[in-house]
Amino acid sequence: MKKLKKVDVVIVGMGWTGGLIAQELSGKGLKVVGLERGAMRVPEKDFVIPFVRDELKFQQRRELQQNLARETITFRNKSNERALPMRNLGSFLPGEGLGGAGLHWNGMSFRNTHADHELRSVISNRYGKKRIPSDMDLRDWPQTYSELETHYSEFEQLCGVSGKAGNIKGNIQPGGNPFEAPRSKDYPLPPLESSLSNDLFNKASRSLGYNPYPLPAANCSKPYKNQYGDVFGQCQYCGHCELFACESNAKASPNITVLKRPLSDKDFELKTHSWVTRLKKGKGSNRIEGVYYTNMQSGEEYFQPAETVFLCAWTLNNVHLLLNSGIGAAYDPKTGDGLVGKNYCYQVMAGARLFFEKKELNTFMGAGALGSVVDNFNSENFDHSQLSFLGGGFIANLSMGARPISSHPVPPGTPKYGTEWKKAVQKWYNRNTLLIIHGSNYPSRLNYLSLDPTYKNVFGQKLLRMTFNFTDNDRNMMEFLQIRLKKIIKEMNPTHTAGPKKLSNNYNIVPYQSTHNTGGAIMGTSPADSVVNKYCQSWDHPNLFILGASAFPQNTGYNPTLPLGALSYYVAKGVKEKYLKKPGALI
Amino acid sequence: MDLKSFFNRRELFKLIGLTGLTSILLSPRSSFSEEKPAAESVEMGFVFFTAEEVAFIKSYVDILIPADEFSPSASSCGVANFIDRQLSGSFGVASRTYLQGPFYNGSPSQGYQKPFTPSEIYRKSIHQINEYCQRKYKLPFDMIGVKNQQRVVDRVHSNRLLKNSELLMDFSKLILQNTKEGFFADPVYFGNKNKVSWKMIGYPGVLALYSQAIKKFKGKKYSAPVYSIEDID
Ligand SMILES: Cc1cc2nc3c(=O)[nH]c(=O)nc-3n(C[C@H](O)[C@H](O)[C@H](O)COP(=O)(O)OP(=O)(O)OC[C@H]3O[C@@H](n4cnc5c(N)ncnc54)[C@H](O)[C@@H]3O)c2cc1C
Repeated sequence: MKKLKKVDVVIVGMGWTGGLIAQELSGKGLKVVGLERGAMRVPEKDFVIPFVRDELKFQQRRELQQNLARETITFRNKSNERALPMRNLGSFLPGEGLGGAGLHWNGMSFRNTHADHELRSVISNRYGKKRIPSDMDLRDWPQTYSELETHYSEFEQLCGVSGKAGNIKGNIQPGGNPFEAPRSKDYPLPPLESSLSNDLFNKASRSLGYNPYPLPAANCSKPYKNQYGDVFGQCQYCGHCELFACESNAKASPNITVLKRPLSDKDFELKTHSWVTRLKKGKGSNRIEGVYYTNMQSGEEYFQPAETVFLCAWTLNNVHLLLNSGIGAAYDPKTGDGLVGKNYCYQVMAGARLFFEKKELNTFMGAGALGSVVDNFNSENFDHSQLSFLGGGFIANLSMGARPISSHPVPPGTPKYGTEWKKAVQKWYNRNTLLIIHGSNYPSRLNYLSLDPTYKNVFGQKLLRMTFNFTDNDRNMMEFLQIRLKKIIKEMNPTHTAGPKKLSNNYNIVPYQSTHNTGGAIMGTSPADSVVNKYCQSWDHPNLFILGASAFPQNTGYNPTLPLGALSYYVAKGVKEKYLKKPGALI
Repeated sequence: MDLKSFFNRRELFKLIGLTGLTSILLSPRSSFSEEKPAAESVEMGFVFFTAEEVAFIKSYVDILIPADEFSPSASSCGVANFIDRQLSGSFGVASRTYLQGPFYNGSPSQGYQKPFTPSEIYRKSIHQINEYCQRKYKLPFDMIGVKNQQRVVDRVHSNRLLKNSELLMDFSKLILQNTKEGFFADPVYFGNKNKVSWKMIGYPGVLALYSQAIKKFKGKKYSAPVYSIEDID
C-alpha cells in the first residue's frame, strides 16, 4: 500500500454530484483529487455517430453501467428471507466511469413541489398529526423550497433545461404546470417539439380537466450556452438517449459541463480506474483522515490523505462505503436504533402500452425526456383526507425513441415468435406509445440497507444488502393512480392496450424500473435522527460531506437529479462561504 | 461526396446542432448512396458452435423467425452467426455477471441465481433437446422436419418438453432474446443482413437526426434511406 501526499480535498465518484463539487472547488488554489472507479469518458472521442447508436452494446449489454462481476448488492424482500446477489443488472442501473449515470441519463428534470420539502409539516397541518403512520418516517427537508429555489434555477441553467414554466413568482402560466412551486425565472429554453402521441395525451387529459404540460428536459430544444460558457447542440430527437451518451452535446452531462472547470485547473487531479474501498477514521479524533483506493488497472492500493472528503459515489455506494468504513451506527429495524441505511426508498412505477391502428407515430423519433405530464395527482397537489394513502405521482406519455431490439411491442395475446408475431411487430412498431405512472415512495421501517453477512465484492469486502418491499401505502396509491391513468387511456381511445398491471405484491429486482434510489444517509436537523446536516455534512465527522439522493429523507413522485443538483449547489455554497473559512462543524 | 468520407470527418458532428448541417442531413431525398457495393458473399464461419450445434441452431432460430412475406428466415439473415459470436465473446461467458457462490434458489423477485453462463446453457440445452429428438424421432432436431420442429419448439417455450426443466426454461428465454437481438441489431453484428428487419418495421437506422423531421412528419409516414453503422463508418 502506497501512502500519497496529503491534499486539501478528495472527492469519491465523478458523476453529477462529484463533478459539481469539483467545479465549485476549482480555481481556488485548493489541491483536489477526484477518484472515479470507472473509465475515462470523453464524449467527442468515445461517442460519435455511428458508434454511439449501437443498441446492442449500450442497451442490451449495458456497456456504460456497473460491472457486477466486481461488485453488486444482495437483495431480499423481507428481513426473514436470505438475501441473494443481484447477479445481472435489472431494476436500476448504477453508472460507472467519468460522468457516472449523468452521462447516460434521460434528462427528465423536475423540481420538487413546495410540499415535498416540508412534507411532514404539510401533511400534519392538513390532516392532523395522527395521519402519518408511526412506521412511516416522513420528514421535512432541512431546507425549504424557497431556500433552494435559486439553486434549482442554477442547475436548470447549467443543464439548459427545456420546458414551460407553470408558475413564475406566483403568476400561473398557461400551458405550464399549475402545481409548480413559484420559480424566479422561466426555463432557460422553450420546450422540446411535441410528438403526435404527446398531443393525443394532452387532448385526452385536458378533456378530463387535468393540466398537461411539457416534461422539463435537460435535452436542449435549441443550441444553448450556459452560465459557464459551455456550448450545447440542439436535440436531434435521435431516439438513442436513455442509456446512451449524446453525440450532439444536447443532453446535459457532467462531462460537457461541470467537469470542464476542474479538468482545466492545474490543482485538480482526476484519477480514473480508482476504486475507493474504505474511508479511514482518525484515531482519537472525529476526523476522516483520507481514503483507501485501488487502481483497477495496476492492482496497486493507495492511501490518499485529505483535509476534507466528499462522498459522491451515488446513493447505494455512499451507504456501502459508510458501512464498510464503520462510520455511523448501522440501522437495525428491530430496535429502530442506528441511522446508516435507514429510510431507503425507491420509485413506484407502472406502465401501459397503447396501440393505435390508424396513427403513424414515428416512434423512432424521440428524446430521453420528451413527454407530456399530468401532475394533478402528485405529491400534495390533491386532497388526501378521504384517501387510504399518502403520496402520489405523475402520469406521463413518453416519446423516448423506439430502438428496434428493445422496443417492438405487440398487443396482448400475440404469439411470442413465428409469422404471427412478426406480422404484429411490423404492424405495430410505428403505432404504439407508452404511458407511465411515476409514483412516490415513502419510508417504511422495514425497508433499509445494511451489510450482507455472506457475499463479497472483488476486494473481499461485504456487499451491500438491500431489504425492500412495496407497502400497502404504495399499493393503495398505485390503485388510485391507475384509475386516473385508465381514464386518460379510455379518452385516447386506442385500438389495443397492454397494462397497467396491478402493483406486484413483491418488489422484483429483475425488470428495469428506475435508477431513482434514495435515502440511507439522510439529512436532518439533529444528529439524533439524521446522518448529515443540511449541508450534507456528517454530524459525526465534520470533514466528511455525503452528497446525492442518499440524503433524501423520502422519495417524491419525481426523478431525483434536479433536486440533488440544487442540493449540491446549496452544499457548495455553504462549504465555500463558511467551511473553507473555518473548517469544522457548520451547525 | 460519398457518405463514408463525409462521416469520417467526425469533427463536423460535434457542431451539428449549431450549424445548418442538420437540415441537409435530414432530407430524406438525400443523395448519399444507401447501400454499400455488394461484396461477394462468403459463407461465414462459426467459432463457438460445433457442426452439430450449427445445424441445430439454424433450424431452431428459423422456427422462431421463419421465412415468410415479411422477411427471410432468421438463419439466412445471419442470426445463427450472431448468436455464435455472442456466445464466443464476453456475453457468452457472462463476464459482467456476479458469479460468486454460494448458490441458492431464490424467490422470483431475486432474479437469476444459477452458476451457468449463457454459453453453458446453450450447449447443455442443445444436447438435451437433441437427445429428446433422438429418443422420439430417431433423428437430431435439425432432421425431424419443420412440423415436428415446430412442436418441439412450442413445447420448449411452454416448458413441456422435459418435466420441469429449469435449464430449458432458461434456455427458452435466452434463445428468444438472442434471436430477436440478432434479427434487430445493427448488421455490424452479423445478423439482420441487408437491414431486413429495419426495413420491415420502418426503422430508419442509425443516422437518426430528426430535429426538423419531428415536426415536419408529425402524423405522417416518414421514409428515408436506412443507414447502418457500416454504411456510415
Ligand atoms: C438509465 C438512467 C436514466 C436516468 N434518467 C434520469 C432522469 O431522466 N431524470 C433524473 O432526474 N435522473 C435520472 N437518472 C438518475 C441520475 O442519473 C442520477 O440521479 C444522477 O446521476 C446521480 O448523481 P450522483 O452523482 O449521485 O451519481 P452518478 O452520477 O452515478 O455518479 C457516481 C459516480 O461515482 C462512481 N463511484 C461509485 N462508487 C465508487 C467508488 N467506490 N470509488 C470511486 N468511484 C465510485 C461511479 O462510478 C459514478 O461515476 C437516470 C439514471 C439512469 C441509469
